[in-house]
Amino acid sequence: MLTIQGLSYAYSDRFLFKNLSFHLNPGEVIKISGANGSGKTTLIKILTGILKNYEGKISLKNEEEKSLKNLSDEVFYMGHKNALKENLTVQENLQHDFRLLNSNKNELDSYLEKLNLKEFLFTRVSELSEGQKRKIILACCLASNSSIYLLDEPFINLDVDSQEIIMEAMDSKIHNGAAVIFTSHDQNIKNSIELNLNDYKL
Amino acid sequence: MNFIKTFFSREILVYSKKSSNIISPIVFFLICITFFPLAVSNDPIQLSRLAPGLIWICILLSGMLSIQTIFKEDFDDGSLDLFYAKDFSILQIILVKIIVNWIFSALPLIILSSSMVFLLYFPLSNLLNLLSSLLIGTIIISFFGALAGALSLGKNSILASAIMLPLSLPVLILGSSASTYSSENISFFLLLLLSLLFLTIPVISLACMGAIRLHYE
Repeated sequence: MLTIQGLSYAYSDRFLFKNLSFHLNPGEVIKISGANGSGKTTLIKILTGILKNYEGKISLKNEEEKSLKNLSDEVFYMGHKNALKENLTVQENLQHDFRLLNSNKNELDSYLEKLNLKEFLFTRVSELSEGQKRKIILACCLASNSSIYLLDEPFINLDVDSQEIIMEAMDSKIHNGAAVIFTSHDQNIKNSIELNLNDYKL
Repeated sequence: MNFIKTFFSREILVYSKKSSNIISPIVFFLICITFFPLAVSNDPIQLSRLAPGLIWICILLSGMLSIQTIFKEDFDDGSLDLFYAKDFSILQIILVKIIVNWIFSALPLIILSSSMVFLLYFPLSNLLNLLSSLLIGTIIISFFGALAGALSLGKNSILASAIMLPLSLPVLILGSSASTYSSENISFFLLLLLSLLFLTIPVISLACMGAIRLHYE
């Protein structure tokens, strides 16, 4: 599905990672780990097409791509920042969220309910905790019908119950052929291929 | 198209809920325009001669309050990342943001200035030229402000002012000169301002695109 060959990225004349290669198949999960500043967020940003000045090859379905941009409708990107407007309510944010262009509104409702966010629909995002903000984006993620999920620290600030609900929902997506690449420091997350960026330093 | 509609309505919603974005320039403008007659002179002839320049200075400084931070929130909250990731047209995003910012921060000042000109004994025969020059000039200033905002993303806001002020000088000179003529004739300066507008829109939009992209290199 996705092949990365010899990917290197330098920042201020210093290589964050060098000669990184891996392959992602449908139904696979890759966890990117590594020390702070090892380039986890940078790698996700390269794959989404936000960052361009890298060396190496990214091939998608055996065709060389600049990034996954050409398939942006099939890719769900969740960044380190939530991209929510603080002075709007949760409902207003969801009505104008571009990540929901390819998603099922009924599923979104059901995940909002499961993640205890329904009662905050008319609350301003600025009044929510960081964990609740993260859950809004994760609800969007679960409701989307993408085939590749690129998630940067998805479980940061999340309580254990919410993490379990999300992992369970993601599992069923993965069983249906979705592929996931995510970054995390959490050692308890199993059933994923681990890619440690510390191994790709000079 | 669907994306641009959604983005436009979101921007309108964000601006309408941030009352400081609308009120601050208006209050600043009202204070400036009221203080000038008190501080400079109360002689009607002297004031009416100075009025075009004073109105233009007040508009320029009031407009600067919000335009320089036009992309800051989207940059800080990760929205810009998302636009790049979804491969949305950054050019369209820039244009929508400038239009919405102009509607909320410059348009109320233009409307207000038409009712405040009496304080400065501005000749009513020149009013149409003043309003036309403000209408064209504030759009140009919004584009310059957007460029300053794009170049100074993640940096000190003084940098944005330092970029914007020299760029705005020709607009200030042309705008205040155009307002000194009677509205019976279309002023030469107004035509120059119009030409500058047609030059500014494509050139500055592309420059903004490049400046924002620089932050992702």
